[in-house]
Amino acid sequence: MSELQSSRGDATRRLLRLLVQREGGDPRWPPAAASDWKNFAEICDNHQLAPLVYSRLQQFTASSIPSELVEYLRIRFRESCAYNYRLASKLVSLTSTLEREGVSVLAFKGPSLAMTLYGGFSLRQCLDLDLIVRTEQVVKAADLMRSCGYEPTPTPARPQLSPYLCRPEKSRHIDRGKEIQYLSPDGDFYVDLHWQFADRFWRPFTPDVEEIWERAVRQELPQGNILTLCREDLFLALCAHGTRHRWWCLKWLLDVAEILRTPDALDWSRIEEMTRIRPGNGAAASVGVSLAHDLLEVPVPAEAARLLPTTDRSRAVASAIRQELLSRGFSSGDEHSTLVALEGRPVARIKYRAARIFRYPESLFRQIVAEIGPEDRGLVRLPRRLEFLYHFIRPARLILTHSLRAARTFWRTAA
Amino acid sequence: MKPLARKSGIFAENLPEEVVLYDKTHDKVHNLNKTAAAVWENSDGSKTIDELTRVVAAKAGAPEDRNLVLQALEELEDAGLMEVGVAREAGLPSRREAVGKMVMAGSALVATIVAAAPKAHASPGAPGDPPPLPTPHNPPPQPLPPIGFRPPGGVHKKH
Repeated sequence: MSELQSSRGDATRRLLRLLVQREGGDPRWPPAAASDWKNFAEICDNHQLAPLVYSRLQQFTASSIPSELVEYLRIRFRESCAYNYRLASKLVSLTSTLEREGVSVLAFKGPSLAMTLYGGFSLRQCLDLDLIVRTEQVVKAADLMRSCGYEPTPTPARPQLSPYLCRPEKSRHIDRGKEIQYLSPDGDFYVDLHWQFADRFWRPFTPDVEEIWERAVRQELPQGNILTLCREDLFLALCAHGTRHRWWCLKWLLDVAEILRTPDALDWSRIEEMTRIRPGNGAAASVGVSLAHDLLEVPVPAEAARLLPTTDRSRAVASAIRQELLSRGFSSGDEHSTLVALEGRPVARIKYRAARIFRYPESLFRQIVAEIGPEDRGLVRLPRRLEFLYHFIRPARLILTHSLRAARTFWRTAA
Repeated sequence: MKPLARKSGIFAENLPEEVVLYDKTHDKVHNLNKTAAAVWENSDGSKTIDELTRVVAAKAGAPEDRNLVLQALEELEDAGLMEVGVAREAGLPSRREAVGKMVMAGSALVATIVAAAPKAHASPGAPGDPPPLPTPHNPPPQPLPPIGFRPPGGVHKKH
């Protein structure tokens, strides 16, 4: 293992020790070099825990913590406070607009989750807004988002940019995909408009998105009230999300841990019903609960141990993730390997691997032909009925650009 | 004079070592240390400065410091968090101004963080300042890849 990996592993272990120790006192950190503290600050940022770490460090009296680190984290804490508050204002405003037009919308994660877990916006760093709409209202919601000035943004593996292919009417994207990502009108934040928790292969591991609506609850934020997931759906959805991303961000694990610390606030009979219908969701939750117990020393409630039992597969996945985090400071975040390890149904595994084999040429096709970018639209403005021509303009532009670049390189080398 | 804190339009988040106030009226966020928080919470219009000093000292578990309470009241007033604040005589500098360079930014009891657009803070400030908060102009950090890992190509997907 390289020195960098080793130092990141040290920083992550230090971070976990701090998170485990919730009350004041000396965190019993060994003395660290200045570079170690820089690694620690970087790890806090990468795991999006700087505000929480700052708050915890305030309670400790250890003089071994350098003032530069505390000051760094204080700046992060204050930035996060202001940003989260602003995000929450935008959340209330956007959901009100959608609801006024008859679109049902749920808030997921973000400022809503910060308020649920911590009673405020200070301790949980939020980056964007996640909204869930009903599948049959995706088209209407997407139109409303655009009318409010939110623009779909380009991301790899998503054909949203194609003015023809990405139109929400395209049932393929709605069937197989899960979200459209938007950039706010002022360019300050993203909004992920979901209609599923995950794409088709991961869906068995998530809550049933049709069922969450009848259990949704109203939440009061300082700026207004919103609709959000009930605590049980939230718990299962967070576990599914974290497991899918291999828990590369410890903030997500902390979210689950905070919910588990108040097990009486969960209706375990409801969770039993949900995981009976979706055993995959139970498996994903089992991974989350195992990691919360192993890494953050959260007691596993008796009901969780009964309803979310560990299997060989979930145990192996949790163990591998734990090993990655403790040794290198991060997990790979690889959805593919996680799904293959967790998926126990042979037919589903075969289907997934087959789809993945075909994904690369599909991805290539998408990048060259399907994904229309601002550079393509900037060449010529086409009316809506002629937008399909962008799929010819784009490959021509790419061929020309790369040919010129190759010719220049060849000329320079030859000269 | 009996100070009275402004509570309407304000959401208070109590943390172990400080209080964060979200001022919905002026769209600002304020960070109060323990002393300032105790002063703000107990300024109910019924206590004189001396009574407030005793209450704040008892809550903070610290010796009574009237000047500190007055400084807190001035800073709270400057932040727009008081209905009735410290009466300043015309022409005289505030306590903070009088102390001048001895009161550096780090000793402020009330820090106002304007809930401004993050892109205003996109560029790092002084060397050693933390990198700007992730925004669309500065995408959030991706999972740290293994050393030597070569992604298949393209931008990492935002999570």
